[in-house]
Amino acid sequence: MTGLKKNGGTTTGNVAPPLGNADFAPFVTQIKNQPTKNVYSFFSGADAIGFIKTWNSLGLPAAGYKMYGAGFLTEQDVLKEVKDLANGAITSLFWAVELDNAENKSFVSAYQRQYTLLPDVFAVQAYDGMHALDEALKKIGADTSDPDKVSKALEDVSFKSPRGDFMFDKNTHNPVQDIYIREVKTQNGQTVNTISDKVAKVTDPGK
Amino acid sequence: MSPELLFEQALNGLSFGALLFILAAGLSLVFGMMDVVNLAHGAFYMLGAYVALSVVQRTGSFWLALVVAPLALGILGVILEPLLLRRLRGRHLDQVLLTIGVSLVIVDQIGAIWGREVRSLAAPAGLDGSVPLVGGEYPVYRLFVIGFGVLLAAVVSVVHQRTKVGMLIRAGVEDAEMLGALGVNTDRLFAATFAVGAALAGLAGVVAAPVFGLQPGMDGDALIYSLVVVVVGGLGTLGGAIAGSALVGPADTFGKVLFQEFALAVIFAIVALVLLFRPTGLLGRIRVAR
Repeated sequence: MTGLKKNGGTTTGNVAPPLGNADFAPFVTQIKNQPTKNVYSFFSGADAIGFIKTWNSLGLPAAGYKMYGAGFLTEQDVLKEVKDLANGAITSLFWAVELDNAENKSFVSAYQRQYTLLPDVFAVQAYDGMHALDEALKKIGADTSDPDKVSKALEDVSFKSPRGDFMFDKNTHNPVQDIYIREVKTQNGQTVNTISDKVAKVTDPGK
Repeated sequence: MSPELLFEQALNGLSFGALLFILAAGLSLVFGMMDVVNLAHGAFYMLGAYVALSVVQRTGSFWLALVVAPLALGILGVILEPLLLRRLRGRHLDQVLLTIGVSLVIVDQIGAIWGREVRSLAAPAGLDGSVPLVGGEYPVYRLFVIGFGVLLAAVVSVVHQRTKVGMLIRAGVEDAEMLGALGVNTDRLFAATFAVGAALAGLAGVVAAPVFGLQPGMDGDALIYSLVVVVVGGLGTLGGAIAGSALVGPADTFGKVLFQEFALAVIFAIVALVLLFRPTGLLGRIRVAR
């Protein structure tokens, strides 16, 4: 919300369901009490599924409401359950299954050979985590006797990930990466995040 | 809040209350008859939902699931009572501990069989749409849930008040020992009661699945809400389960809306107030400790 205000945006209010909340109807009904039709939310997993289903059943898309959110809201673990109910939602994240680069193509097809699902962002995070460790260990010849050397090597790691170029911010050890603006669409029977825009080389502001 | 939104929130609260009634009725019945707080009730609810998921995946019929899942849970109940609970009859605390164990086993097996990711169940055809209602659209399924809850409450009330089975239940709740002395086979009565309690939990699981989805942890949420309902309404009485769910459902909904920061505290504040002024619950009876 701070970032939104800094860049000239405004908010009209907020609705805050507790985590792990089962019934979203009271909160989604409350959204209709707001003067705006643009709704940003931060949900993941079960909460995201409950929110999106309730959002549709209470008729918000038909009433002209638009759904925005952090990318976890419409990751593949959620989309495989809600399918086209999420169409039109716009979210931002550092990866999407539709991303067009060689690493992502081989990652997605290798994942699908192993499992019958499309990979989600959590699979990418685990994969990149192991990749980063692997790069670091290669650099120090797998000699882990000095912990400082290991962390230094890890800090300097950079590689091509399914999400694009990946490196660490030396100050915070957060990733420096591209952030994609994604829109949910159903194409060829699969509901996925399509890439509509990209913000290059974002340093995570978290400390 | 505009009148339209108020009305919509009232429907949200009522449909949640109706679900709570289906859920709490079984817990209340088992407690009334057997003096056991069945802490596996939430796990029975969860199992009902997952059985329904499998039935729908195989046959595509929600209505079949609505029959099969409670039946499956009833069979489980009729096996578990003589196998486990009967051996500890009269040792109430041990029985309660035992039901915790049963719930752990069930929940773990659900994870092993159905996996631990989040699943969802579609509402049946015909009920999966929305109808125009004052101020917007409202999901048909939630209206169905209200109707189903009211219907179930009516049916259970009639069975309770007007049939031989109901008479046995009321007598058993009053004094199961005396009922046994009068020649009623209480072993069979208890097994049947436990089975019906489990079946009601399973039924609640099926009805709730299209609204709340299926995920690890749903058993705990269901158990806590159903305990709140029976404590508020009055332990072990049918009227208590009805009154409790009619109060807790809407109170929880409006609590979440009006006091966002204290969303979870509202229902427990109600529990505290009820216990303070009516320790036996709204419609509870004073029980003689035996």
